[in-house]
Amino acid sequence: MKRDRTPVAALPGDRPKALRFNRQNGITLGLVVILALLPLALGDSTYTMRLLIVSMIWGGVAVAWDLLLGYAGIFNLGQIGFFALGAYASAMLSQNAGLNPWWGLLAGAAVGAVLAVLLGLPSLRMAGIYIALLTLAFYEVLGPLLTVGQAVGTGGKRGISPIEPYSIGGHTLSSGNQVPWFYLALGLFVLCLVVCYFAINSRFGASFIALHDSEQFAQSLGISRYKVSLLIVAISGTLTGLMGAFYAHYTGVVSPRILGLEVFIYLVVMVLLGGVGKFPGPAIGAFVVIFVSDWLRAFENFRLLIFGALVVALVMLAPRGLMGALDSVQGFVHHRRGRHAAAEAPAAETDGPKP
Amino acid sequence: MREFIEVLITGITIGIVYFLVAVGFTLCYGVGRVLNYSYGSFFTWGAYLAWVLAVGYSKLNYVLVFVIVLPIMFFLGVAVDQVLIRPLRKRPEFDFSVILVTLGLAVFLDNLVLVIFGARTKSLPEFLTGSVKLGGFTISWQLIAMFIFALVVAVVLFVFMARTRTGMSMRAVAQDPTGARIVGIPLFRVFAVTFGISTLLCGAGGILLAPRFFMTPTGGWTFLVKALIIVIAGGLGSLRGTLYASFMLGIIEAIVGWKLGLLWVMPFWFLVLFLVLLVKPAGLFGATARKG
Amino acid sequence: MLEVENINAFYGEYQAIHDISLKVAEGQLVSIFGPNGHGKSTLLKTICGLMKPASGVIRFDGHEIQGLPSHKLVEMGIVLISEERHLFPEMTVMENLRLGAYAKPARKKESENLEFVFTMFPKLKTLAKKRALSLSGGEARMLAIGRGLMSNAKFLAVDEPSFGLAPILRVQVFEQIVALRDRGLSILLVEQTTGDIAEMSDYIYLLEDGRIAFSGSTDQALHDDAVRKVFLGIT
Repeated sequence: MKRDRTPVAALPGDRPKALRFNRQNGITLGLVVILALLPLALGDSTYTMRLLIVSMIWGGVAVAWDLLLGYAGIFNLGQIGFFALGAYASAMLSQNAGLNPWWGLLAGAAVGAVLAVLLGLPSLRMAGIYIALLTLAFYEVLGPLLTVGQAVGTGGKRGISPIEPYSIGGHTLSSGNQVPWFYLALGLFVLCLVVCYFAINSRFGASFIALHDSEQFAQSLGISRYKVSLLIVAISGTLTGLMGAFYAHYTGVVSPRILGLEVFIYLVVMVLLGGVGKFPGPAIGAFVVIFVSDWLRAFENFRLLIFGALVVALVMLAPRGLMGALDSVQGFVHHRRGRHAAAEAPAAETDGPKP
Repeated sequence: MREFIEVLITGITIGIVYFLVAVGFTLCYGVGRVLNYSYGSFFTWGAYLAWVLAVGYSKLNYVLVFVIVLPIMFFLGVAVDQVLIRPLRKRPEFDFSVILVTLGLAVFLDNLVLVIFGARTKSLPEFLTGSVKLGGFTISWQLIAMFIFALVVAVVLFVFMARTRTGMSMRAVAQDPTGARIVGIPLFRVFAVTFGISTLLCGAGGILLAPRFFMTPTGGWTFLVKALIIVIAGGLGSLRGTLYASFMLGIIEAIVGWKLGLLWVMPFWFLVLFLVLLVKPAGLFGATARKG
Repeated sequence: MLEVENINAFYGEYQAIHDISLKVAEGQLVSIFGPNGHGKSTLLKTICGLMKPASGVIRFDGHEIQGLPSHKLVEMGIVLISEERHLFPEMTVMENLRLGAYAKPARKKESENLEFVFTMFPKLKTLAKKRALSLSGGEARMLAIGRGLMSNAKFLAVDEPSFGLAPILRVQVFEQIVALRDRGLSILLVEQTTGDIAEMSDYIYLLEDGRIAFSGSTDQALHDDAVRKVFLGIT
């Protein structure tokens, strides 16, 4: 689960690396362009469009989560909690308070951010392993909390439904025409990708990656682990809450079932399959997972069995995911080239001690 | 008042069972640095295995059920350690890989139960029926049996850790793994045995608590989270902290369940955890939680 | 007894020891001197199986042992007394000693070895019920050596036994190491720089930058001007 090292080279005075063409933004751009053109090809295939929209929602969450897992080294297992509460916040504002659903996007993002910071305040001061414990406890407790929270309007076990869809210029979006939904989702998905990309490839990104690599070194540069971690958690929480809010209005339902194991394990597979710390791998993982899962629909009961086994197999056999596999291919090519170069200048290699 | 004391007795009994479950979890981390997120599934498996023997396919006596299920749980744990955890120990991101692999395993094991036994809830009958009046209090035989079983397991565990060579070697590995290698303790064998004991304790908890809660294929997660909360509140890796936290939270569970209903138990547990962490960020007896 | 041939060992990319070869004959006390951070501890850890060599051969009593897990080596009688001690802090002195006899061959001789340790370090007997973390530096060093002796070692690798000790205790520890040699143990000892133990050794190696810079008998070493000046601090 090695991260791409390119961002570390973002030194002061350098031309911003983030704006140069590289594999990360190349793949991202390609993905977005293909997605933007897809509705033209698919026409009115509502079903496929739906799968794509869901993929984009989770793809956004997956890259936001990977920002924590793969880049900042924060083992947050409560990501879906941010998503669920973002969804609930937006749904409750429009259903219980009668606010225009668009406001819900802001509310969802805000709730995601606040929640992430609240959870981060106590846990980020602790060793990494405690974060994994505490955030999982938070995630698991949220379901019962939302169930008993009927009094404040969470709708108890059944959740909130229906939820008003968005409307643009007086036209209410319907489930019959997926195209507007698609481009809305694409917009949010691109937002997630862009924010995460710049978070990773900015000087700020270099600082938290340095923290992950060597805390002592980072601290000698005057980087406070705590502050940087809080900020990164807040960014991740904001994006996730935002996606949650959109999800609520898109599907028209939120209930504690969103906190079920199924969703959690899907998210894990997305990130693992795409490659932990391999932007934008997790986003691509989301598309694969959503489509494969749809394809496995016939195996209802076996589906999670398969996904569980898949997680185990990925960690054991291919811990670096799809993007990692791409690395290996590139590495192989480089290696071949490197050997040619070495053959020409055999004296270049030394095995003296490195400081 | 009398009712309150009966609730208190229930709380203490649940507390000691929770202790078994939580101590298995904390042991696994303290000795082997493994945060076992499939722990809840082992709980479920313990309960379902017991159901198979006591209800589903034969009508064995509970004592026999324990005698058969506990060794199975032990070897299941050893197998998981050898096949899944051991190969990961070479990796620099061991912690992270273990969390993911055990999460995946949990989903796999839970759904295996679902596929085999179906989604319908099952229940284990009580070990003993009826109740006894002691000095004005009514205590069910079931509760007494639970208490005795759990106490026996806990005492055996303490003696094992304090007196036997294997128990001592487990403590040695927890305190200084390099020191353990220097004196010739085979680390991987100790890790495997620890994992086995951990799953055994968890399975024992599953059997003991199954008559109290309904069994479902994913029901184990609640107990994983309960173990997590106990362990964080007590201080990760601390046996004493785990003991106190188990009783405290067991009693809270009994009282909350009695006054407000079982649905409120988890929110209250989380509240207590939050309060404990506010006062002592490393848990009641934890010293190593902070990164300095 | 112990033969090391051309071993190399790395920490990640950094090579800590280069092509080291050395020998310890039965009943010998062999000392390795060298400045801090020049691969002495790495060498001992590699011999005792706490680290794996990247290449090279280590032979003990004629068997190749490189890459074997440490517990196998302890069973064969190869025991490390680490400079960092690695005691079990929450356990009593007695429990620490008893764990020293964890290896199968040592179990049979546990009480015999315990008696020997207590005659060698009478102080440990009075401390038997104290927890290891409450010991002073000198006491902890004694316990580390005592625990090593409990393992029924044939070959002791001792890493800077005098580190952090008061001069009077240093001499005592060295005398005891020589006494162990005289009882027939083979000992490979590592120190930063010191005169006292050099004179008591049978053979001396100097380690510099992870390479052997000098090897020779004690007489040769003591008469080599460069060695005397730079490493032994004798003028």
